[in-house]
Amino acid sequence: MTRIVNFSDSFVAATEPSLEGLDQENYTIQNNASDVVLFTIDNSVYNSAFFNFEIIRLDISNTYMETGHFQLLFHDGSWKFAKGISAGHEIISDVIDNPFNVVMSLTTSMGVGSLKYSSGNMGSGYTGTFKISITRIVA
Amino acid sequence: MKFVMDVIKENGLEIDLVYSGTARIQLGAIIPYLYFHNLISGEFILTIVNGLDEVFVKQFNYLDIKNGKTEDYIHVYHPIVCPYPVPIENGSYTIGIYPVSGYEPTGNNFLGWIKQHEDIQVPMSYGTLSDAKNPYTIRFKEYSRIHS
Repeated sequence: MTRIVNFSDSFVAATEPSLEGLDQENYTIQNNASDVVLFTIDNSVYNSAFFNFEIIRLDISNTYMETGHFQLLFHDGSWKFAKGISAGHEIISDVIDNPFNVVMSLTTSMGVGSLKYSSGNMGSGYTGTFKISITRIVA
Repeated sequence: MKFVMDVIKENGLEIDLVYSGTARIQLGAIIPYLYFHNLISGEFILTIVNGLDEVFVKQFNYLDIKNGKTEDYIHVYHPIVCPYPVPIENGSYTIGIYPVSGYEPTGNNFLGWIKQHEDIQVPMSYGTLSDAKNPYTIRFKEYSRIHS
């Protein structure tokens, strides 16, 4: 994960420097998976996060199943998928459906959001990858 | 100030370097530029490998990096001193930093390896280079004879 660190003009700091930049993680998608955790985010550390993602099917020559972006927002005590802000925010839900029965969902426990996925039966030869790029706003 | 770094994760991080000198040198210390982000545990090793041959390995831990400082966020050229002169001759080497035990990087606790463009150990590129693609920063100290 590559990050940019904003540090004071010193070699040491007692308080946490702000971190920015992109984290990219690649996750293997299993066939017939159920609520597998991809990523967790703690509301005591982060207020929101912006995701770019690609879901790629590797067994059919890198076919994109879905590309997109979404925001995660800690709202009313739980993490939700949120649309981009214009005037006020609009909460979508806690589930995003993608092709081939790959469903992303969010659950929250004690302020920690878990981004999970479930997948349908895409065949025994199936292999796939989630690529997620994240920018987070520090609490 | 700002700097760019990669978080050291379970598989560690590596840099490939070529020593193109004709004379063999004796390494005295290897000094990676590390970022300590509130680390509370962790044992690591630094290795130098030439092909399949392990040239050097030394273990260090998070307290070695912190070196008695009370602050929890530190960027430092951390010297890993060779207990004996390590011979390096013309060739290609891979230098890696890997977690050994007690290290579970999270958003709040991790060790990073800082990248720099203007690193004296790595040739400059006059082409445009993304900060994220700069090499990991590392220094070397070699033994040399004092001539009286």
